Amino acid sequence: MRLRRTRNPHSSGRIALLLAFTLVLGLALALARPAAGPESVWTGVGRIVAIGDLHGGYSQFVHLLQATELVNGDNTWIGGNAHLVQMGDVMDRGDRAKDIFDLIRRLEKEAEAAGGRVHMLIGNHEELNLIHRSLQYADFVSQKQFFDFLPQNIRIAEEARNGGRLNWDQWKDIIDNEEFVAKAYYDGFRDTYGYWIAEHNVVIQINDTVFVHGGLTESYAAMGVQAVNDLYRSEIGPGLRGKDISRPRIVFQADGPLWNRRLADTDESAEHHASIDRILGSLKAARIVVAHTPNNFHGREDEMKRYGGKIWVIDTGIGLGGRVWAIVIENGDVKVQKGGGAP
Amino acid sequence: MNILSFALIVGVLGAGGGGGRGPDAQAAAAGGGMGSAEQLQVEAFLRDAKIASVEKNVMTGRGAAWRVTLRDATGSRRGFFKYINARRPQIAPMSFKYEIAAYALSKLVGTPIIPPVIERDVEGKKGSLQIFLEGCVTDIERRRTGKPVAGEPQSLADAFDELTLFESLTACERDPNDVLIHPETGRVCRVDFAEAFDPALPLSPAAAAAGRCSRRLYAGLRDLDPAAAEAALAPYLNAAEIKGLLARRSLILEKVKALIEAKGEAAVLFDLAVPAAGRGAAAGRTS
Repeated sequence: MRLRRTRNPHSSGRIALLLAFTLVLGLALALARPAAGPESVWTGVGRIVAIGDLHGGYSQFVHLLQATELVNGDNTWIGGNAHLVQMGDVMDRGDRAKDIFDLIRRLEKEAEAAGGRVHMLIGNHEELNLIHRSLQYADFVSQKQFFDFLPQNIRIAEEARNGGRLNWDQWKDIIDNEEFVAKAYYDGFRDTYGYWIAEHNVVIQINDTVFVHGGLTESYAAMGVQAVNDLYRSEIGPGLRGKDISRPRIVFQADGPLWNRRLADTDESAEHHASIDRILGSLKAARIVVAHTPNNFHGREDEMKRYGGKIWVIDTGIGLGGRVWAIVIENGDVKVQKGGGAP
Repeated sequence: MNILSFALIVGVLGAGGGGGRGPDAQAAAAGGGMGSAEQLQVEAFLRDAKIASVEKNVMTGRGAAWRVTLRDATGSRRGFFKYINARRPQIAPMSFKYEIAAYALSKLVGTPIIPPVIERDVEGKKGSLQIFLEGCVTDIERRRTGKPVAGEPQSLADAFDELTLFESLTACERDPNDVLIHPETGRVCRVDFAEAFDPALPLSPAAAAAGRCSRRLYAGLRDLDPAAAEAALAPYLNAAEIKGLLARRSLILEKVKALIEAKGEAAVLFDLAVPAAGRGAAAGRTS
């Protein structure tokens, strides 16, 4: 005998209600969550290598990667599950930012496949290029960097229009006077590397160490690293896509994580020490590694370690004729690694 | 002591008070809001003196200002040159034009709390050139070191109260690193308005909480002719920025009027203390 299934109208109504409730709840949770970005915190990492501002110093970067045994002679990742932190400021002043970006982009994938990670933080010089500001500063953008990101058709058209090959001073005149050329450079940069860079973090924590290009105030530290990254991406991403960010809360802010230099001070006041302790307490971290500020570094290893090792300042002028040094953190022990034969 | 050195301390580092509008405000009024004689003299020096040297990597901030040494027959002075010009609606606006606008506004309302700044070309770049105030400490340094300041605490409190309302007028939040104090004269100045004039900002919380106003600023705001302000500021501010500024001026005036009605003029308006003019005057010279 075939049983006839009868549908209970009350039961199906309850299911529909449950489904609707689940859908609404899911939607509400999805809307409440911040925009999904990359992770910001890692634990259980055995070996961390951190490299400061590069400013186009590609060969110095490679020397450091090889000296720390993160890559082999072919610049292929051999670092296994180690984490590399590049502290930002790949760009400006020097020539080979594009080559560095290409290498980092490849190493990100190779490291992840091997169980390691490559973290490229956003520095203030990346920001200046993302927000269309770098060309205004005298001598920030080198000739090579400019042509690496300026679309080739614009270069050809401008040279044809101005009677042939132009020297860099002539190009600088054009940049100052023809807005569309500067815009073409920024757009070219944005389309090839900018969107990718803007997806990166400004601050990360690995084990008990926080890494940030410039520094963190107490209020940013209280937000936590993920919230700082989410706030940054909520401004820079829409800004890249042409939205108005004329009143930013974090982008291009003097006390923001890309520009703040306070942690790199040599201020031995009790007030400053207490502030550093509060920042570390908020972050539940033992130390903060910053770059960005080479001012109090005169080439001595001990100048990188400040406030009893709570702060490490690792902008050693790598790409600008300074020391080609990195730091390596293993089991909570921080050591300076020298990059050998780099200029 | 040459007249320019004197001007740097007496005329430029803030005006003295006394009954009614202070002498500088009176001078400003006499000059049609174009600044005191001392201000004009420093402006002329900034405009005409020869550039003896330019140091480009001494300032590490976002504005990357250059330090410029200027020289004329009276001697040498230092100045700061800013050339970044990213005006609204650009991302994160910052412009040397806002520096010049703030200075022009300070003259219009008779509150000479900004060191003279003019527009000038330096090494082919157009920008703002501002006189450097020798012998000053920032408010941060003052607080950190506990360095005593002439006329403390009342003259400093008065100057800060005036500054609070002027900063709100320009929509420029206080950064104690940008407040310069001359310890020997007690003069207070404010620099760095490169990110000011956000058209959408109302009164600042500090201004909304203010309970006093300098007599000269109140008079300057009350007597400000919107058309004259618009004409003076149009080279540096866009229409929305000027409209926002005039709206904030109205809000400040309404607030001060309401305070006077509630508490009486004597409790609200004050004259700034007369500075110790002679002392520290030579600090205006660098060589």
